Amino acid sequence: MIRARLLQNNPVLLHIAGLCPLIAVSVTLIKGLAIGLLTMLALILTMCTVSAFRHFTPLRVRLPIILLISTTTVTIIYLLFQAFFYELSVDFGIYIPLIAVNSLLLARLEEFALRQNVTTVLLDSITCGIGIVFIITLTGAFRELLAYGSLFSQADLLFGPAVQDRALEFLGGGKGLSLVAMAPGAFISLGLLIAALNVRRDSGLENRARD
Amino acid sequence: MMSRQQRKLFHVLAPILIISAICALLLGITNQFTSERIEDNRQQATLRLINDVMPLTYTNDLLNDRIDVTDARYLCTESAVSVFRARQEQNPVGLVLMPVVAKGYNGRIELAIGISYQGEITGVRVNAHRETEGLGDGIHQEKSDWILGFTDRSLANTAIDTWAVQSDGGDFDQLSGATISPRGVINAVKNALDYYEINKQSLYQ
Repeated sequence: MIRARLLQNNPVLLHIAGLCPLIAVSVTLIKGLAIGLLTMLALILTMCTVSAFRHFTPLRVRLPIILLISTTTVTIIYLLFQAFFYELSVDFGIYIPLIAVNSLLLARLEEFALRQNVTTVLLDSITCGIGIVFIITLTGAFRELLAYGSLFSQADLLFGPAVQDRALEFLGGGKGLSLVAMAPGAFISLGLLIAALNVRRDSGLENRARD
Repeated sequence: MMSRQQRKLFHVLAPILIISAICALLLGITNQFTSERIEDNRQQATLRLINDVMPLTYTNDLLNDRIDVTDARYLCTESAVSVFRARQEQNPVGLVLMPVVAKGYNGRIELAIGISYQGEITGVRVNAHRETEGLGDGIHQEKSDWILGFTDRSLANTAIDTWAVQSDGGDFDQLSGATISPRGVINAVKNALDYYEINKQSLYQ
């Protein structure tokens, strides 16, 4: 099932629009991982809450209720994030609150969470969340490698001072391709990644067809 | 008794009200729990920046020895700029101005500028900017050492017309591919020094 989510039915690949705000801040592997985990957490919590309240939600006012729940959850996550990961929260800025109105999240809330029981929703959002973390971290790693020639830089912002200056340096740590670090580079990187994943998937399908 | 219509309205409104109440409660609790820590983090970040631009020894609680000033002409911003005063015993050591706004290629560049009592720059750091990645962002301390070139400069040891990038006949390095960002920062620092000379006495009061 995880494999299916990662490669064939990755929500990230299907709902690219929902990714744009997340991709914008994934300049490095660590930042990609952080924003991915935040989104995953927000996804799991909102999905389960909406699902738990689904018998209590009149059809006509489902949208205000969904929005209320998602904004509250994300605000709580944002406050906690500011309290414990202040520097990253300053760096991400508006992109964390924006998760509350992420099109990917809202679409899943309305189409899925309102119709399924909590267990199904929980399992689905965990796999879906892993898919998001996977693709965004990968994009972050790709961009960091090309733009700065390093990996895992600033890991201390997420994992504490114990891992400070443990970054892997390539290309002598010199200047890389700065385009990749800019917003357009984010979309180019994502496009290349999706293409790579599609090639993989297609060759997999071909192999199976031959068998 | 409620009419049918009233009952219908109630069935729609009650869930919204109840969920809103729960949300408000949760937000309130989280805010209570985190606000102090967030404020603390914010002060720590400010203090780190201040200490970067104010290497001189001081003995006062600098973060709370602060006044707000506005000067649209020299500080290039309508909004208030904080002045943190560093003192040793009662003697003024220097001060830190932040955020001083410089005009960048891509909007505002926010600077923290440390000035010693004698009017020498003790340090300049970029607090926030939106300059182009790989070109103008070289003004940022994490990207290059350019901004360290201001240290020890003063109006006395750097002539008025040399407060410019080298291609404009000035005394400061330029960043390859970007002249507008350094130009903005140089102007802002010089203006801050001018402002300091004019207001020196009142700033320490």
